[in-house]
Amino acid sequence: VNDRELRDLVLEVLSDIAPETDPAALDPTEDLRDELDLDSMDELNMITRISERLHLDIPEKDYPEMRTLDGAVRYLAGRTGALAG
Amino acid sequence: MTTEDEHPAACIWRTRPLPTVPSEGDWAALSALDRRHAEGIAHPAARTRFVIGRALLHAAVTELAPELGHAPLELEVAASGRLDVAGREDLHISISHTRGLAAAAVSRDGGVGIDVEPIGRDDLPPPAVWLTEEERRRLGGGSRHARRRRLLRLWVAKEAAIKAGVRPRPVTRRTIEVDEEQRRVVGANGTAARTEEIASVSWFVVGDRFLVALARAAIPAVSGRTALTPIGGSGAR
Repeated sequence: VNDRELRDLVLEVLSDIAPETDPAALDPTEDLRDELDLDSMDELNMITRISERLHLDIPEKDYPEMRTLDGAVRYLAGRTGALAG
Repeated sequence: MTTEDEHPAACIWRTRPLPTVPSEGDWAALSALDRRHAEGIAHPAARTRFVIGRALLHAAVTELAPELGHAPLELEVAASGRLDVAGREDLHISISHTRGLAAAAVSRDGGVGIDVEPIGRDDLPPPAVWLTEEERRRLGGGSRHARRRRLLRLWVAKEAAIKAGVRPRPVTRRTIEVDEEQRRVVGANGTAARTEEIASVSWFVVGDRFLVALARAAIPAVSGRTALTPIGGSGAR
């Protein structure tokens, strides 16, 4: 899984959780909760779906690393790369 | 003279329906730093939630601590992520907002956390990712509607307890356990003895549409506390 595929995956999940918004237009460096009006339940739903799609266990202590689009991609790339290695 | 006059409240909470856009008065309650942050929030609804949450907190803090006056509150984010009033370690604060409602709580006698969710919300995450095994066991069967109501009670209680700054840290949803019967939150999964109470919790329904949980970090008894007396969308203890 490369960075582009991870970004597409996160955007796809976000489109499902916040269908009234346009995730493609969001600032990848800004907090997703502010960009898409997400709350803590939306955030956990997002992470759960990504976790299921990637068959990856994401511990709760790591959730803050996924608060921006870039942060999520960076974190997932590190985790999936580490798993592949 | 009211009961609260005789025994000043140690903790109050307030709620407020979310308008489409904040008023000038709401913006005026924000510090320069918070105002800049709000102006940078791209999503209009998220911006409104932020501003109203801060304005409501300002109203609650000045109600509990009138000596602060009506100047905007200078808020700080602690390393733990908890929000504090700058220079006032004796005050503990918490904000929550969901689609349609904002809530704020202020306490003089220990950590406080508040969380609010619409009662009809049905997109709760799978229980396996946020409940302990014991909580899932207790959840049992029942109708889909009853199960969803219980899950929502557990969700808001955990969110409120985490915000209350309960120990041991780091606290996560699966290292604390809600004991609905005893109205308390205890440590779980080896982070603390399961019998150790780390927060008390109370639930309230606001306007028939929202469920509010108020958590108080476990602390030694403090004199002068009054009974919990929720009035509509607010309360004090």
